[in-house]
Amino acid sequence: MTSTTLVENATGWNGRIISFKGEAIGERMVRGGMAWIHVNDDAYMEKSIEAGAATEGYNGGQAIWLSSDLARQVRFFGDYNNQGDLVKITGVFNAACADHGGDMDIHATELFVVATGHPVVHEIKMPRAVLAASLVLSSVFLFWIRQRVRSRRL
Amino acid sequence: MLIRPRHNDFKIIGLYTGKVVIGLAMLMTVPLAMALSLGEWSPAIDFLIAIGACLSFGLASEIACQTTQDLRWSHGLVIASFSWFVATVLGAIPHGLSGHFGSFIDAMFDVMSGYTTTGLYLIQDLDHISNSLNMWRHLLTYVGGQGIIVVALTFLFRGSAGAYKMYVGEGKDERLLPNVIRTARAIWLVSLAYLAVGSLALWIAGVAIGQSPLRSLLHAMWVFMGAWSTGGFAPQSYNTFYYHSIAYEIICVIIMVVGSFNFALHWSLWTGRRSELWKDIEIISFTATLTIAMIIATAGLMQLGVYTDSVALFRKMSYQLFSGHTTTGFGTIYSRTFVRQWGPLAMLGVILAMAIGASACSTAGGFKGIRMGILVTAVIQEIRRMILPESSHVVQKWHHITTRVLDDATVRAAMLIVLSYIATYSIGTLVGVFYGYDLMDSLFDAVSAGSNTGLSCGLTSPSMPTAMKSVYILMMWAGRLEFMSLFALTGYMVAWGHGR
Repeated sequence: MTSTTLVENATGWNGRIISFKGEAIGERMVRGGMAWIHVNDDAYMEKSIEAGAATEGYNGGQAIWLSSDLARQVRFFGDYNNQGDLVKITGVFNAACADHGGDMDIHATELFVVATGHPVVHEIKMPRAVLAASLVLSSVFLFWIRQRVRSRRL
Repeated sequence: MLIRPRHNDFKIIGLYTGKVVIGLAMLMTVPLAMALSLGEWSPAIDFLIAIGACLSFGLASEIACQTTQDLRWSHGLVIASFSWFVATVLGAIPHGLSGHFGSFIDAMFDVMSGYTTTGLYLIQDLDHISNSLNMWRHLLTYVGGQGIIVVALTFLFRGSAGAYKMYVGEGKDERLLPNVIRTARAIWLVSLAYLAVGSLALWIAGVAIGQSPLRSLLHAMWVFMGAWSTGGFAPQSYNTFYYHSIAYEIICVIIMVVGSFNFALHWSLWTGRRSELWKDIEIISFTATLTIAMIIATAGLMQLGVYTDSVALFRKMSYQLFSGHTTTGFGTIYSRTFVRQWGPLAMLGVILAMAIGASACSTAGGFKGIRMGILVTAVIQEIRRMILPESSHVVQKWHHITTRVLDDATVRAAMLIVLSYIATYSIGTLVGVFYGYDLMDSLFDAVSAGSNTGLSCGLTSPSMPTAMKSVYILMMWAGRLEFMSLFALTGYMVAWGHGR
């Protein structure tokens, strides 16, 4: 089951038990004994652009409402510094959840970590560092010239 | 006869555009500082490149274009539109270098969307971008809401008599104070005060819904910037749906509505004239059209039985409608939900709200409430003329800061701008249909782009044709500057080619 399928035919899948696999992103937001997490099943769920993937479209995923104990099984949430855990969720899909103000969500009863996430290493590109230094130096030089031009006009 | 611009005209344009670009470089030090403090070294280098490029361009322009001549009206308008274009190209450098865009035009699309407070985006894998790039995205939209020229006037200009002409060129014409530079500073004072209060409220709400204090603080600042500027950018791809909190949504709605008020109205309220809130034509117009749009959207949603729970229906409908009418573009539903669940009638309600938009001289887009108010008042005047005896002299009044008598010139000016917006929306729709998109989808996203809203029904995406992205960039640009500056820039280019 993909998030695109669910969004495109929300009414058809409403109330049905589904399984959904994707990367946990952002953070867990614990609300008492329950929590919200977000799971993306897009082109970046196994490798983000920061980890070296090519651009392949927008993010896409689903909001998951689950017990805080299940949510705590997730170790890594995807962001700039991390590739999030790849998780498989099973639960009831709601096209417009009455419990949550009409949100489209999945009330999960099971969460299984398929692959643990990891920190992403960002390598510094030396040619860019050299370009940055050159442009900053050029700015300093131009600033000096501008001050001289101004002082001559005065 | 067209008069070809002289060498000195270009010097004036170059000098002031250079100053605006230097202002842009100063702004980039904010995300640079964030990148350095959070150890985001690659984005820090990208921001250094962009700052160096902006400073080099700005300083070189200032050196090459030294002149003491003051601005004429045409200069002010051309500088406003040209500097927005240059600032878009240079402001897109950090975006382009991030690797999250399919092409540089996609990066420019997002930057123009930010400046114009539209909120449509083409950035890919948003959920993995750096905090510093997120800061830059939101700062762009925050600054764009006040106006790039307003920023430059605030920090980089000293008592130029021509400054007001650039200020007007950016689609604003109200002076809060007698001096335009003090007006620009007053706009910033209002915006920064709200930034502090609004961010604090969202920060507390963020912690209460389970975010960590640091993430909550960053999200609070960014969401505030997106809401106040009526920009609609958010730090996650889920937009404000990410938070699943009615408290967060209510705070967002308050910020969106307050952000969409006319700065002159803000100033009146700040200086103690609270009765303006009930008398102003823009507030009355906004309330009336928002109610109509909500009725239409509710009818559409009830017709299709999208939400079985009435509280859920009201919450979802009102949030998207407030977002649309203030031209913010925040959403708590998926883009495709408009098409797949909401249906044509509810979409028409949202389209109506977006097309009209909020207040003039604010951060918002669309026709503006003041023009809707003027046109409706003109219709009432005509009806009164028909009903009353021919010998009677019909005087129709309207109130915006002061009470004024409606005259033909005011109605004509309002009508001209409204027609320009309708033409823009129509062109965008036609282009969408030309490329094979559904009529309703094309209309929805075209109105969203032209009115600087940012809600999408899924049409806007990195895979849309490049020509369509370019048309949307132009629509966002024209809509935000309210056409006159772009007309002036076009006229200048024609005169350069064909004038004597």
